Amino acid sequence: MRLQDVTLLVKKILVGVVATAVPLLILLGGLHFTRKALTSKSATEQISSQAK
Amino acid sequence: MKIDAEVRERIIRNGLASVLIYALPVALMFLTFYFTGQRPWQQTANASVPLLRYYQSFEHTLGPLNNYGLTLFVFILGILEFSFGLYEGRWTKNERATDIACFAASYIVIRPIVTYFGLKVLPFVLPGLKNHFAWVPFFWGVFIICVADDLTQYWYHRLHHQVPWLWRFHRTHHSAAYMGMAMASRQNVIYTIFFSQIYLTAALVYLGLGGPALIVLGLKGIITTLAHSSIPWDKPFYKCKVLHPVAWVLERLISTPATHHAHHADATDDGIGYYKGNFGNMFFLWDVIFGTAHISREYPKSYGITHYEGDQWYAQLLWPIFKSKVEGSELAANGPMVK
Repeated sequence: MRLQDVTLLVKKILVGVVATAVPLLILLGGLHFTRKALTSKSATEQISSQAK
Repeated sequence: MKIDAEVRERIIRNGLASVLIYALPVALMFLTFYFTGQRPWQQTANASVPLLRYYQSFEHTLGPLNNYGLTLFVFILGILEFSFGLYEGRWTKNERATDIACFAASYIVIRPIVTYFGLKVLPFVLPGLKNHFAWVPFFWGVFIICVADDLTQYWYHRLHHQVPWLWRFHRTHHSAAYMGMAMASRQNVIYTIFFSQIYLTAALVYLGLGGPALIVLGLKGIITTLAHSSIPWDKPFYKCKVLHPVAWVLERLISTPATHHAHHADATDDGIGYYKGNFGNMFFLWDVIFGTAHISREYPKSYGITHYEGDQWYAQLLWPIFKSKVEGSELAANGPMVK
């Protein structure tokens, strides 16, 4: 293994990390948003129906 | 050697479209919940123990089936391929060693690494999020993992073909002059260790999507092994006229031997072979969406790489740690990036 091989490996690992992180962040954000948005929507609806 | 400007532009364009495709299953799930009023996380909170028990029993049943069942399936397929003489004497000593070493490495090296990642790295990187999304209904979990796992593998695979400095990590998978079930695991070990979709799916399992992951990975294992196999299971669909509509859907949805064999052809100008595309693993749909698909319903006459001269098995398995002794090979110490 030479220095250029190590550089190549590091670059390759970075490509792999990006390819994993991008979809993971999209899914984490999406699932978190789904729960948060719909929970607050249900809570708002409950409060408004109780107020009536 | 630099990446072609047109290819780079297409990668960026298709990459941006992929962001939307990744988000699609979650967006559809959100809309379904919004309009139907379903709130599965509330059910999970109320009945967490039975639901957890259901998932655990499910994983207990399907887990071993996924591990050993798939291995047994590959083994039986291998025996069938041999008994039909489908390797036609091209399985030389060096090719045999390469196939067996790659197959063994995927079990001996990769599994412990992924297990370590799941047990030690994920709790550290995503603390407190274990089973955080276990409320995701089974159907939606399957949909999310189908898209996340396979689209990520499509990109990982496509980049190793279209980015010149990545090609040599994937070359081992294309060097054999034959097709067979062993080809599915014939990979350089560094290519396999950094398979992005493995870590993505492991993270989703950690987050609570273990049950759906088992189903998707089992299905994916069967489809990809059959796509590499020398048994042309899709031929009857092209020959029998009644089955043509089914063939039309099938060949656009999943990888078939015809489309995936075309990807392994040693030529790309005969109207059949197409190593410049057909990158899909479980789903071929990605190739159709991104314009990298080529469907001919025919099988290439020859496979592999035209300039391949039988690099030693250890160089194919472990390049760049070990180099090939074949003069001028892409895997040799001073070999070209792409020949």
